[in-house]
Amino acid sequence: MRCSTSTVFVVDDDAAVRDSLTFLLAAEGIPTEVYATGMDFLASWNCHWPGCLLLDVCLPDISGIELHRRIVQQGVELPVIIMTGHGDVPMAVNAIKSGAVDFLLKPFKDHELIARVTAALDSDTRRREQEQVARQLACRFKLLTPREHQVALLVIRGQSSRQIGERLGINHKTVEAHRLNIMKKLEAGSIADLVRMALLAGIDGNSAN
Amino acid sequence: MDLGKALLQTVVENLADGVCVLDASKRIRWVNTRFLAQLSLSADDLIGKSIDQVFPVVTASALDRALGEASESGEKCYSADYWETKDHRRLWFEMTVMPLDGATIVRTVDRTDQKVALDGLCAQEERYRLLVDSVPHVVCVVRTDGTFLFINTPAAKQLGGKPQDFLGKKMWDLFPGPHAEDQMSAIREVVASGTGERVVKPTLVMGQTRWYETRIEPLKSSGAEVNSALVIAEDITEHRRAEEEIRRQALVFETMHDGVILTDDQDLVVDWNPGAQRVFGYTKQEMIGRSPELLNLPQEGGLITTGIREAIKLHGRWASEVTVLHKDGTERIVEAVVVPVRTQDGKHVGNVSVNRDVTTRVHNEAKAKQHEADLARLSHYRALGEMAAGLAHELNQPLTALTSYVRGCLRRIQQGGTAPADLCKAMQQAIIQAERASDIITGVRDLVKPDQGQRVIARLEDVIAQVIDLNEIRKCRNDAELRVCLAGDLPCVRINVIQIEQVLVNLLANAFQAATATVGRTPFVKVQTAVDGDRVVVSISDNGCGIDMDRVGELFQPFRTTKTNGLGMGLSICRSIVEQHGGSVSLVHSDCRGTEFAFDLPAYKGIRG
Repeated sequence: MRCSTSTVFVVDDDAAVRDSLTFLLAAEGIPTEVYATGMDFLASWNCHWPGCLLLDVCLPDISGIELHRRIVQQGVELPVIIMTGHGDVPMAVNAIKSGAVDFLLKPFKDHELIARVTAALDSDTRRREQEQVARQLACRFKLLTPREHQVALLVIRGQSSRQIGERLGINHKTVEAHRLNIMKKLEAGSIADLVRMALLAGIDGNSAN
Repeated sequence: MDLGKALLQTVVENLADGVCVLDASKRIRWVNTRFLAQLSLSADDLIGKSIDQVFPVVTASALDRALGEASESGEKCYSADYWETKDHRRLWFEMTVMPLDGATIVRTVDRTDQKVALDGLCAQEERYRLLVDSVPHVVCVVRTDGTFLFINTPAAKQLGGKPQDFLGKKMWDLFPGPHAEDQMSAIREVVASGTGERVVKPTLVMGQTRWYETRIEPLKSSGAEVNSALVIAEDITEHRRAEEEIRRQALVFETMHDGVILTDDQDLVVDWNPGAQRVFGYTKQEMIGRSPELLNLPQEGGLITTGIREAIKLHGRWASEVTVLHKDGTERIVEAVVVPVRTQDGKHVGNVSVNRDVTTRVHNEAKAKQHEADLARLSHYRALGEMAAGLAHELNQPLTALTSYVRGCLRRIQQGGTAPADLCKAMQQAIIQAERASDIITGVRDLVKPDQGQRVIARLEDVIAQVIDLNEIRKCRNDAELRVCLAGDLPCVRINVIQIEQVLVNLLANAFQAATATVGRTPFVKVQTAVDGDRVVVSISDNGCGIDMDRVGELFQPFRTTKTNGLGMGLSICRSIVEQHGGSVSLVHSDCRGTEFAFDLPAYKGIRG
């Protein structure tokens, strides 16, 4: 199974619920993949698949919360929507505490479901895009020489060329030359641009030392 | 007349005895005045007459006999006999007949007075003997050497014989050594001291211990010497027994915890034990002579008295639980039984009523019943709570699916372009989900429905036979073998047959499902019955792969299921049915080799199947 488009992964032990959700989401053009148990899902799921998880809180093998925990363990932030009945509100609270994005009280209104699912898929898409950008920027940062990297971190921290020169024990004019190279390699138009790129790439100026 | 003759005549005339001289031909020749006086006759009546002429035949022949004896022996002859006078008085004469030269001198002494006295004495003695024989007491005279000088009929009877059997016997012949010695020492003591004694003690008579109250009196024999004792013993065994019985009964009466009231034929209290004082608060003194009606509630008293009278007339007994008023004004609940007291000839002379204060018990029972009801309600509420939670979840599933199908259809219709066939399929699915929800509701209704229908006494073998013949189970038997092992002489059970069948169907269906779901073995299901004390146990086992240990805890809760198409109601309904029958259902064991469920029902008392 190859999922390149954002897909809703439905995990519910009730076949009718799985089928009906597929039917409803299909009306909005949202693709679904269905699984009867959490373990079924874990067995076939690939962390690169974009989308969101629509979980029933009561699953026959591992609970929705446990499933969520295992996904997080794999370093993936797949948005999770937990579906719950009236009786399991405490469980739902636990689900939110464990970091699941959202939860839906069964039976739910269709637009509510679609809104939540769309939001989850959007957030997943956004996250994946950000990750994409971060990966690209990280690649650009890798083009910098160690000295340039050092200088870049100090620039991000807002130090002047003179201060940097004093800090690194080099001439401030040399620092200026490094800065020019850095801006060119990173395709940054301004210092503000540079700071934003560093944030997106997950580079923290404070960790420079 | 010479002087000698005259002198003799004078002497003879003045003798206190009568003298009469007869000649050889037995004619009276001479009599003295005394003789005439004795017989109230004159000399003319006698002199020259023969005795046959003068005396009645009886007297004459007696005299004749004496004369004959005297003349034959030629000696004095004494005779004591009565003479009858002409006027038929009987005179007892002691006479001496002396033959003398062809004549005979008859000297007579009138002993009539003595004889009368003696006869009286004899009669008196006879009367005494009769008296002594007619009393129920043992009367005997025993000499200090142990010899029985006298023994009356009752005494002899007690010893198993007649008085003559025991006269002259010794004490040791009749009683065992120690007893004889004991009695003799008492007798000797009385004889020695000369004063009577009264003893109450048991004696072994004819192998039986009997109690006697004995009076021993020293008895003077002829002469002043005392060498025997009169023993008068009263057999008080029965008396004593009765006395003990009365004492025992009195003790029971006094110490009985229950209040016992005796009333006379006027329904007035004649006796009242301390128990009654405890129950009703009134003392005996307060109640004697009063009607026990005052103990009843004012509005009930008359009715109860009438009721008791009627019941005793009809059934000879009255028993009821009544509310009474204690002296302190509080109401008490008393279990009362009234029975009549009758004389031997059946006359009703009063009643005995036994009253037990059951206030505490009744209150406790009421409290326990209330508590039980509270508990039942509580557990019912809790079960309802559990069920409501389960129900919400369970209903949410089909409702979620149902709304999703319908909303999906709606959206497609609004968007247009979807083939009606696709919509129909979804709508059909929606209907199935709606029906599923309704099934759940029905299941719940069945679960909470109170136990209806008749309970009958049934044989579990029959119920099992009927169940395994049901279509539902027959189908299962195509896939797995069914082994039935029924215990012999299983007691009957009192059940709602349909409900117990439902339990069996449920457990069997589960077992078949488990057995057939496991690959690699020949599936089988086993039904077994057994008796455990006063319970009948039915166990149903399979050789499936067992139940997940994590789920065992929630096994009997509603809406818990491992099946994708189950409601999770089966075991929960089973439990509620079996518990309504006073039994329990449990998971006996479950591991990878199989599972066993069992339920038990109380055996119907007294009857074997």
